Amino acid sequence: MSGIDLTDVVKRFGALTVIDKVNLRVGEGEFVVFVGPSGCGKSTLLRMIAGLEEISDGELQIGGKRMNETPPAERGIAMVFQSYALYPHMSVERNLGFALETARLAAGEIKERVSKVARFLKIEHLLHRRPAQLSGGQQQRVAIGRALVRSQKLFLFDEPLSNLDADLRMEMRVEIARIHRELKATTVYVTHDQLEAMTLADRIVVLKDGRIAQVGTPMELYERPASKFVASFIGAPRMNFLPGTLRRDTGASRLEVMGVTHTLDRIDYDGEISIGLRPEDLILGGGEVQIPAQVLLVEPLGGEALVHARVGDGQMLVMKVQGKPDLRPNADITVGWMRSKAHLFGADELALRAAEA
Amino acid sequence: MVRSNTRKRLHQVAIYSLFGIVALYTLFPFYWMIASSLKSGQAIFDVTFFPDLKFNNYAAILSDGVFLRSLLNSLIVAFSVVALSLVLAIAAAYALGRIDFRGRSPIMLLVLAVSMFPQIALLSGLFEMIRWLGLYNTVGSLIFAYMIFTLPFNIWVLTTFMRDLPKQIEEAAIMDGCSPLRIVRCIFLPMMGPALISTGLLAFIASWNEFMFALTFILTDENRTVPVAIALISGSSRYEFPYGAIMAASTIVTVPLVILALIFQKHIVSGLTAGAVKG
Ligand SMILES: Nc1ncnc2c1ncn2[C@@H]1O[C@H](COP(=O)(O)OP(=O)(O)O)[C@@H](O)[C@H]1O
Ligand SMILES: [Mg+2]
Repeated sequence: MSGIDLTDVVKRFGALTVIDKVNLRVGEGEFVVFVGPSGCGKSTLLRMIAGLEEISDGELQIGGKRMNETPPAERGIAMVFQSYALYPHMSVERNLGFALETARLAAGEIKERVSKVARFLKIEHLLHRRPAQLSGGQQQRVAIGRALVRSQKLFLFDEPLSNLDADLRMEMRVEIARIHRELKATTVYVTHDQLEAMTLADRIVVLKDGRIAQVGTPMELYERPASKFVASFIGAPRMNFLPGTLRRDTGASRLEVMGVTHTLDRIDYDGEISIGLRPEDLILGGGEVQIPAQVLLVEPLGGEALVHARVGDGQMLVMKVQGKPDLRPNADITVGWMRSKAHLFGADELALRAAEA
Repeated sequence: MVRSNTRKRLHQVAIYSLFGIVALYTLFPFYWMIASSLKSGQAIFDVTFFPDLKFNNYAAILSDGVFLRSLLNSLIVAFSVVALSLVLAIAAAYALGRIDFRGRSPIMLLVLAVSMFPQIALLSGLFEMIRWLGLYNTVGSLIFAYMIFTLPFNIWVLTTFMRDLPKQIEEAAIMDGCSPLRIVRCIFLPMMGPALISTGLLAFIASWNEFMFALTFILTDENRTVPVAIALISGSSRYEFPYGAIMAASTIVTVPLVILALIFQKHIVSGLTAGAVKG
């Protein structure tokens, strides 16, 4: 019983509202990732679930029970912090066992559980070292081990990988995925890295200014972003945006972009819009819709390349192409896309969808 | 090459001779004290740099009940002051360093201001308080009085230290189920080891050396502490001044300080600077 229910949850610091009426349900055993730019309230929301931050308004339930007033240690939660927060004066072994020691378990049982976790995380050879004698990746393993040893059903992670370098980050990402697969504990994971979110999450919650911008599976968010904000946050390199005009007609809509007009299924909207195109959806010299462009720069990445191009009067586009295209700066090209791959956003920055037939 | 080598050597000579002068200046009085304490009778008035290793001054002073009693009093006072002021300062530092409440910075400023009062200004007021508390002519009066200057300093140092301990470690301990008391005892105090050692040591030295309060608040010999007891050592007649005995007593009194300083020397500096970096 470790699902989480947030109902109209609000957090205020004085006059400042940092979390504004968040409603969210995290299913038992689910891996949910909070993403969003710095300062959007991810940590605050996580800390409210943990009990480290008071809930100003609304209700938090864990496993169907109201938890607003329950002290952190009694919520059945284990948490991993960004800075690892290991106790510097204790050996790794004692760090791992400290919560059990606090709960007054027998020494034999503590030892047994600690060594089981150490084996699981492959840190047995480090048990007698101090945290200062460990590398960043090892410290992170110990921090995760400290959370595991209490065998809780709910794990919270606050940007656990952001202090690691790229290689280790990938290794630990795989490790965290393995832990979740094997333990099946409900997990809430905060990150500002969309790649971590895409690879780890069952569902992603995108936060913006203390509100939920969109909730969905990684593919839902990638394929059907609800707003320009979500569209530009998910996917790398970022989605391109071009200005255009949408005209409603009988039975169809007509979209004009960079001087090229084409028809679409009817959308109930009339006026200026923004057309979102992912770099990987753009086609060099092909596609249903094509516009002229000029090459600025080609960045070869090995198997593929990023082509930076200029369209119209100073609009920039990034396009991802296979292989290494033979393009020189200032060469004239055409950039195209399939109509179904274009994301349209109205003046309010929300996604526009064709009316259901 | 040759030139720079000689310059380097000159440089070293200069550094070592400077070091030698400073060492001589600071250590000579100690040496003189110890050397004199080992001379007997009239020999003390001869200017000889090497003592004759006679221990009769020590024998005399260590068989003097009043001096031994004052040594015991000093130990009681110093250890009580260290223990009490550390416990109180840790509690205060936890409140001032880790808990958000209104009026925190005025309290800190007040603590700092109090630690700057000159001792002499406190003397008469303190005297009244001690009389009123019925502590006059007891070692309790000195414990009470010394806390007045050890506490503010300890609170200040321990608060700056406690405030800089990482918040996430405290939160990790909360998630691990620790009460505030357990957090302080098992997490904060071990992390503050150097600060506790240096503040404790300074409190010990201050109480061990204090003279003026010890002279004012104590009336009778059996309650005195060593600084006053040494000053009051007198010879068998009023025309004899027992330098030898005084030097022996002073040496005995210095030994505990030297031992403590040697044991903890590594921690003293790190404790004081770590807390002091951010004011
Ligand atoms: N203790 C606090 N007092 C006042 N404001 C705070 C406090 N903690 C966080 N905030 C504010 O709340 C907002 C969200 O912070 P946070 O949840 O840490 O963001 P994130 O983790 O998404 O980067 C920020 O604007 C931050 O300044
Ligand atoms: Mg954060």
